[in-house]
Amino acid sequence: MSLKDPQTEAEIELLVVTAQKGSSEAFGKLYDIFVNPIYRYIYYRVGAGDAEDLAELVFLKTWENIRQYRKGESSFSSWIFRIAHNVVVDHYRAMHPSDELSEEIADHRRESSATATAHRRFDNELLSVAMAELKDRYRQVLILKYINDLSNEEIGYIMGKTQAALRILQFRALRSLKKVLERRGISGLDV
Amino acid sequence: MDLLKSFHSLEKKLKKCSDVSLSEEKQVDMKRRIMEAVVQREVVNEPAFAKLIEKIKEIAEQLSPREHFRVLLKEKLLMIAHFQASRRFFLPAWCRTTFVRRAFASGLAFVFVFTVLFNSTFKIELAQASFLTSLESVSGEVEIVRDGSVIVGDAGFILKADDVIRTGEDSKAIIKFLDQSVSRLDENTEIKISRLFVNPLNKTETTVEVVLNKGRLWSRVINLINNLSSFQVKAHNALAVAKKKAAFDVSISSKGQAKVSAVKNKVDLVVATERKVVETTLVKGFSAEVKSEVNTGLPKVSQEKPDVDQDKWVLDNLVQDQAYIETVKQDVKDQMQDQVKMLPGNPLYAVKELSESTKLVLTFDDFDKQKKVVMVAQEKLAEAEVLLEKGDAIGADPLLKEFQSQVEGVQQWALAFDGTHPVEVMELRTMISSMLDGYEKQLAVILPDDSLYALKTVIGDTKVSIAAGPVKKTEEKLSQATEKLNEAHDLVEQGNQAGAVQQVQEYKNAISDVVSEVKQMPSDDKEKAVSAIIDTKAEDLKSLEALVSQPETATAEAKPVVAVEQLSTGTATPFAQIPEPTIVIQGTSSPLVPGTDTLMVGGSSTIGLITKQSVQPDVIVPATQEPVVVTELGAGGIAKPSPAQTAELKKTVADAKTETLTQLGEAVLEVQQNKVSVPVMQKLQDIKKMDMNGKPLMDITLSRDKVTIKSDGDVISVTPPPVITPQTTNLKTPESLPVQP
Repeated sequence: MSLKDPQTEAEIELLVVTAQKGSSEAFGKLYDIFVNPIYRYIYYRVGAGDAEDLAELVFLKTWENIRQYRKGESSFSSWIFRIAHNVVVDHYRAMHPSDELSEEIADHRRESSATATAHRRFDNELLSVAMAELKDRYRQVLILKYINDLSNEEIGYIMGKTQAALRILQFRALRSLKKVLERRGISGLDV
Repeated sequence: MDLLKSFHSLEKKLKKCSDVSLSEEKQVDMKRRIMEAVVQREVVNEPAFAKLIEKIKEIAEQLSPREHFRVLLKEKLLMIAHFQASRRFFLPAWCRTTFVRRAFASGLAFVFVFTVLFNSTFKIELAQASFLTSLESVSGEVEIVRDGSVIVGDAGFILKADDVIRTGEDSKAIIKFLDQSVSRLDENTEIKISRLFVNPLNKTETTVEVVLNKGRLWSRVINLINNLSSFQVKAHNALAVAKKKAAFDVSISSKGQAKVSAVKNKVDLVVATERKVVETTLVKGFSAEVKSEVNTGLPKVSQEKPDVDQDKWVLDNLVQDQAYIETVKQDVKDQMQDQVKMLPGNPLYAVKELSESTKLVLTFDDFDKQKKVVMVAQEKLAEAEVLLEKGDAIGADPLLKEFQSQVEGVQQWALAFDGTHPVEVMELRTMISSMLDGYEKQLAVILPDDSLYALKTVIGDTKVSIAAGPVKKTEEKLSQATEKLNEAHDLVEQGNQAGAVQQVQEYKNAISDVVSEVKQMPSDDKEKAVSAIIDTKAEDLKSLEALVSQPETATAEAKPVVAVEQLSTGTATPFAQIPEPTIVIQGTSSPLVPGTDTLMVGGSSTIGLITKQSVQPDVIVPATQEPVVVTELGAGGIAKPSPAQTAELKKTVADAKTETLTQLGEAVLEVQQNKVSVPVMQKLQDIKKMDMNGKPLMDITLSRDKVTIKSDGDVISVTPPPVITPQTTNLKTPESLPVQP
C-alpha cells in the first residue's frame, strides 16, 4: 500500500476523523498503515538499537495529540512524520544535550561506528552504514523521499523547506550517498 | 532625406541598446540558478541515480519491525485508546488503573507462560547508554557471560541486557541498575539481565528485568516514581514486581523451589501455571513459595518466621541498603550544588540576574525563550538547595517560590498556543514534566527530617499546580499523598515511629482534601476523579497494611549487649567510609545495659554493636535524631522502638485504613447518586479480584442507598445523608456521611 495512492489517502483521512472521535479500532488501522514507514524512518535515522522504542513513542504521541490534527494544514502522513522527526531530534538531544544540533554538521557519532571495509554486496547493512555517514538532513530527505515515498510537498512540511530547496537537497543527498557507496566498492553500475 | 535621417536616428538608438547588458554579478547568479535547474532534471534521468533509488526502495521494503514488537505495541496502543474512548481522558500512566493493571498482568502472564513453556526470553536492548548498569563491587569469583564469552567480573564493569552474571563459592557481587535500584548476589548465584530500558523522552520511566537462574538475589528499589516503571525479578514461573520502593529477596532452593519474600514495603507477585495465572501482593514480612513444576499448585503464601541464616542475610543487606541510600542522597546534593554558579548575597548576584534577563530578551524565538525561563528556574532551585544545606531555610524560601511561579508561568503561556503549535507546545510540556519528574525521582529518598525536604515539597506542589484540569490535579494530589505513605515506611525502617505517625496523618489530611474537592466537581469530572481515587486507594490500603506488618517474632530472643566496639555520641563514622562496612571498629569498650542506657546516632550514619567476638555486627542501630532507648534487641537486630510508639503507629494506621475505606465508599456513592457509572462499576469488580498475601484485599457491595466495604476484618457501611423536608427542619443535618464500622 503506497501512502501516495489517492484511495489510500482518502482512507487515511477517514480513519483519522474516526479516531479523533475516539475510535480505537480506527487508530489500530492507522497504526497498521504507518508502523512500517515510521519504523523505517527511525531505523535509518537512529539505528536498530533505539528504533523500536522511539517508534512506540511516536505512536503514543500521535494518539495523545490526534485531536489537534487539522486536515487543511497538512496531510496526516506529514503530520505523523513531523512527530517522528521531533522524537528523533529529542533523542539526539537527550544523548548529547550539550551539542548544538546542526543539520550542517555530519553526525560524527554515527561516523565512528561505520566500518571502513569495502562491501561488495549492497544490502540493508551496507545501506544503513552508508546512510550513517551522511549529513542528517541528507539522510532525512532520502528516507522520506525514497524509502517512505512522500511527496515533496509533504517533505517540505516535515523539514520546513521550500520545494525548490528540497529538489537541490535531494540531488546533493543522492550524490553524497553515491560517493559513499563508491568508496565502499559499489559503483553506479553495480547497483 | 527624411527617411535617411530617421534611419540614422534609429541606428543610433539601436546601437545604444547593445550597450545594455547584465552586470557580471547578475550573470553569475543567473547561471547558477539555471544550472541548478538543469541539474535537478538530471536527477531523475541519470541512470546511476535511478538504479540507486530503485535499490534503496528495494532494500528498505524488506525492513520491518519484529512481529513480536508490532503485535505487543498494537495491543498496548489499543488498550490506551480504548480507555480514552471509554473514559474520555488520557491515562499516560496506563498501568495505574486496576483494569489495565490486570490486563497488563494477564498479558504479562501470557508472555510468562510462553517463556516457561518454550524456554525463550525476549531481547529488548538498552535504549539509553547514558543510564548505566554496572557491577558496583565484587568479592571472590564473579564471571560475566556475554555473547558466549566468559569475562572476569571487576568492579565498575558496565553491564548490558542479555549479560549473565555468576558468583562462585564464597563469592558475592553487587549490581547497580540504571534506575538506581541495587541487587546483591549471594554465593553460587546466577542471574541474567533480560531487559534494561529508559524512555529517552522521560528518563524517570524505566524497566529492569532480571531472571534468577539459581541461588539468591536481594533487590532494593529506592525511587521508582513513574507509574510505567518497574523492577522485576523472575524465578522459574514466579515474577516479583516492585513498582515504587521495596526491598525483596528471591531465591531458588536446591530442590528448585522459588521463594519471594517482601522485606520492606510491598511487591507484586505473578505466578503462571499451565492452568491459570495468579496475582497477589506480598507486603512486608510475607513470602510466597512456588513449586518448580508448572502444572501444580498455587503459590504458598505465609508470614515469615525468624531464621538465623535468613536474618543474617536480611540484616546484612538492610545495613548495606542504608549506606547505599545515604550515598544516593549525597549524590543528589552534590549534583545540585554543581549547578550553582553564585548565591544570593554574593555582591555579583545582581549582575548574574541582569545577565539572565538580557539572555531572555535577546531570545527572539518565543518557544526558545520559554525553555530558557525553565532553565533559569532550575538554577533558582539549585541555589535554594545550597542554602537549605547551609541551614538557611529563610533565604531559600523566596528562591523556591520563584522556581514554582516561573514554571507555572511557562505552563500558562504554553496553553495559549496549544491549538496552533501543537508539536512545539508538546515539546515544551515534555521538557517541564521531564524536569519535574527527574527532580521527584532524585528527591524520593529525602525524608521530612532532611534539610532538603522543602525542595521535595515545592516539586510536589509545582506538579499539582501545573496539572491540566481538575482530574489531573486530583491524580497528582493522590500521588503526592501516596508519597507520604512511602515516607512513613522509610521512617519506620529508620526507627522513627513518631515521624511515621506524622506522615500517616498528613496522608489522611491530604486524602480528605481531595475527596472534598471531588464532591464539588461537575459529574463528568467527578466520575474520572473517582476512578483515580479507587485505583489509588486499593494500592494505599496495601501500603498501610505493610506499614504495620511484621515477620513473626514470637520466639525472638533478646540478645544482651556484651560490649560495644563503637559508640557514637553524635559523630559516628559513616559506614560508607569504613572499608568493610560490616566490621565495626574503634571506640572504647563499654557495656550497654538494656532498659537504662540510651544511644544517639548523629547525622546520617548507622553503627553496629558487636554482642560477641564475631566480626559481623549482631545489632544495628539506624540513624535517628532522637535518642534510642535500648530496651530490647530482637531478632533481626534492629533496636526496637518503645511499645507505646508502636501502638500509636498501629492506631494511626488503623484510623487511616478506616478513613480510606470510608472515603472510598463516599466517593463511590457520590457517583452512584447521579447515574450508574459503568467504568466505576468495572473498577469495583476488578478490586474484588485483588489479592494481598494470598487473600482478597477487599469486597465492595453496592445497593441503591448503601456502599458496604469489607477489608481484613473491617466492615464499613456508607449511606447518603438524610433528605431534609420542611417537617424535619428542626433536626440537625450530619456534616459528614454516617459511618457504621
